[in-house]
Amino acid sequence: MPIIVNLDVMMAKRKMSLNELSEKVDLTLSNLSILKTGKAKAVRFSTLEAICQALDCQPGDILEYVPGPSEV
Amino acid sequence: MESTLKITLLRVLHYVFMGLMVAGIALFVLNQGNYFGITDGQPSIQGWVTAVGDHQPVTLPNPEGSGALNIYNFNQQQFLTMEFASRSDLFKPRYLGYILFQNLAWLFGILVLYQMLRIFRNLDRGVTFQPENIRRVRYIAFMIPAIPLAAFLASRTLAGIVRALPGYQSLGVKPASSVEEIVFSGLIALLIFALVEIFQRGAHLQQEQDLTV
Repeated sequence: MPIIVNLDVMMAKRKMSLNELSEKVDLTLSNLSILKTGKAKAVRFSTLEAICQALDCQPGDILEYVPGPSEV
Repeated sequence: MESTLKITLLRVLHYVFMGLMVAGIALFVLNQGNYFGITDGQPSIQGWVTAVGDHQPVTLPNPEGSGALNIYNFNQQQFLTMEFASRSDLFKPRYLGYILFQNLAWLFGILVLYQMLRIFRNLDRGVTFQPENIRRVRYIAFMIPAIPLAAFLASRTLAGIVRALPGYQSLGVKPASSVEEIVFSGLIALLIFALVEIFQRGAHLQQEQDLTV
């Protein structure tokens, strides 16, 4: 998928664990793991807002667009 | 409260289909015992055929006051039991063919019950729009027309056996089940296939929902 989730990078920058983020954004660990591993098919604006608030970042810091092989 | 009731109903249906499947298997095994004379030592085959008689009509006065009311009795359902002195007499293609088709009809029926049982078990466990359920519903759609088809072939084979008997040569005998049953169940199968497509769309939506955070 051409959308890359850089959640782990932002978490490392903020020195925040998955458990801590899970508590702050009120999201289950499994859902957060789905997002972190790039398996998610969609992200709710409310989730994105909560993550950005917790990590003090912009959506662009978490999501990145990389053209796929067919789009290059 | 409503959810608990629903789950209980699904569990009940699960056990109903389990009971039906166990009964089906028991009857299937009993049938084998009858065919091959395991239970009473007398091999036999049995089944329904339709005798086509060229009977004179029963004539009654027309209740409207004039003319006659003729009632023709062309087709008569007849139950046939053919016993054999020894098991070796049974091992002829026509008898084995009949047993094969009859067993296939039973096996398809048991498999449908098994698929229903598994579907209700999954639903009871909260597994609804999953590829496994779709696969099972599709199997059911395939087997629904296969049951009357196998029953028709069995009945046709039995009719052929009866037609060869000396007393029945002048009297026409045809299969007890008809082609219309196969066509009708084929239409039901098409309906189930349409439902499978809807179910598949549901599974896709469910997967998307599961992967939305």
